[in-house]
Amino acid sequence: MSDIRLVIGGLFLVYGVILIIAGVLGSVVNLWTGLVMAVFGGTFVLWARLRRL
Amino acid sequence: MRLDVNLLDYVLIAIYFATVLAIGFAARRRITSSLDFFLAGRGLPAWVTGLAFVSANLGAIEILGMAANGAQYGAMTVHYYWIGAVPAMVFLGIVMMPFYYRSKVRSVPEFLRRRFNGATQLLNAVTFAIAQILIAGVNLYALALVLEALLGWPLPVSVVISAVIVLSYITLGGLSSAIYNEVLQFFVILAGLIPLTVLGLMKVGGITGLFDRVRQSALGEGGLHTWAGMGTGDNPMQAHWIGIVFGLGFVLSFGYWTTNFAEVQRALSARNTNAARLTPIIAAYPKLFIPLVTVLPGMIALVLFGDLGRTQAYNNAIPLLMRDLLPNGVLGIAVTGLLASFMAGMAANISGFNTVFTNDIWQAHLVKDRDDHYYVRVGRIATVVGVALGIGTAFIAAGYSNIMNYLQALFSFFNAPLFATFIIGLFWRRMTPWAGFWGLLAGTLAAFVSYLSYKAGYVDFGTELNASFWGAGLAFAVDVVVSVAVTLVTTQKPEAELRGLVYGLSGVELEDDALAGDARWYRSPVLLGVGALILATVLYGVIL
Repeated sequence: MSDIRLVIGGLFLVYGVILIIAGVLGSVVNLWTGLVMAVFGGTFVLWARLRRL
Repeated sequence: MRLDVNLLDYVLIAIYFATVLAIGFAARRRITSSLDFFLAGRGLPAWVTGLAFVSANLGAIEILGMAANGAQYGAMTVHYYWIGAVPAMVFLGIVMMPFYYRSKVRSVPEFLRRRFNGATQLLNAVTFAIAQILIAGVNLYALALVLEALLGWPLPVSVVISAVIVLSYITLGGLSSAIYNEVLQFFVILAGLIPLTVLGLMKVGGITGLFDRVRQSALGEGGLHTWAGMGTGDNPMQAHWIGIVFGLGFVLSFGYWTTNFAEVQRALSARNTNAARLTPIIAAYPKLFIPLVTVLPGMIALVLFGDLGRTQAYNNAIPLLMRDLLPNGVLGIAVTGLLASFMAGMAANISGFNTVFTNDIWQAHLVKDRDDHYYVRVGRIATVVGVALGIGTAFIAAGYSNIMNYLQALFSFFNAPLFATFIIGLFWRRMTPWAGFWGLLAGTLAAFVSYLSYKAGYVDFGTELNASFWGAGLAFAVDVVVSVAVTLVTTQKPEAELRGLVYGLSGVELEDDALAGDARWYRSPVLLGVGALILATVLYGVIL
């Protein structure tokens, strides 16, 4: 855990995936929120990978 | 009013708290000195400290309260952000931060010792420490109330559980843990509030639909303006522009944002002077747009729930929207955001408290000259004691909730005289050490007396808002008068001791700590600061 960007990205990826699954099974609100959160989380992970501390 | 949370929501909440604790454990491994524990080793980049700076003030009381104000007063609630915060944050970054950061002090009271004397330091440290504990307790109590109402948890259980979580991550990881969690919390809060706002807007027919329905509501046309009707007081807040500009925009806001150590501490942990100066300025940009997810949902709640402000408390604006608009899943994220914001608010109080207690009370006045590890240990014990006192305060608050409201209002007055002392001390090198002490003491007492006499009914300021403007203004004025008077009859500090602490006396021995890339335009505090001010003006133009 030397980089907070990985933690933020990781949490949002996990949240995103859970919400996408919940969305596919049920509410479209969960699906959209999940997609946005997953993309956001992915961006943070990518940022941490591309520009290391 | 109960939220219909299910297993999915609880899983999302649990994942968040596991992450929070993991951050605490990870941060612990990097703590080798008191500087690591109290100031995160002075190694954080500006975007991290900047987001923590916003988060430290984005407590749930703030979120629920601003949405409540949005429902009650409408669009003019944005004054709390655009004139009541952003200019002071920019001023802190551009003008004051170089003095704070370059003097290498660990806290605001320590700066007061360097500029004035030990007595001034102790006076400020003691009032600050008491205020932080009481505010942490109020926070904890408010959190427990929300948990009880929304999730059905018994009050004592939620008080203790939340306190234990905050306690563990701060004792473990010190300020870095608090700051990293604040950054994480910032995004989680937005992840809960943005879907809420978007769904709310869709439900009322977009911005135009919302505006039409606000016009027909109790607020009427006045709820859609910020400055209109300010010359006469004919507006939902019944405020005059002089009160907003000088009371809110100057005395209250500059007092809070430039001297409140729980905020300033975030900037002091930045990696160099430039990053410290950028901290409040980077924070100003999210601050400009936070009303979109607090004030705006408040207005949406007003038109969706006819009983708001009558049988339903305005404070329920956000919880009502959560109940009616969010499906399980996103609901869990929103609840997590609320919980996280409560804890971050409390964590800011506690980490401010443990630093000031250890550094400015224990080390400076009681047990001097021990090794560094000793003070890290004192810091950890102070955290435990602070949280325990906070729990105690929370239970007292549960019994006498009015007293707590009064206390909180009272503490908001205390920053005004502190700001007066700072601003005179920074720009008038003749101001003497004892002028610092007596000015601050007189100003603080004036704040106290004016508030008590308002509460006891001796003086009538009209509304609570006006009382706080006048009380803070009076405290400011008394501080100025006493500081000047005492300066004339006491001896000043030799100039050599004031180098780097006063405007116009630069510290000759200070080395330049700029990093490669600090000269680029997007790292210029002045450019970004002026940009934030221009943006605030433009935003006011959109909703005049």
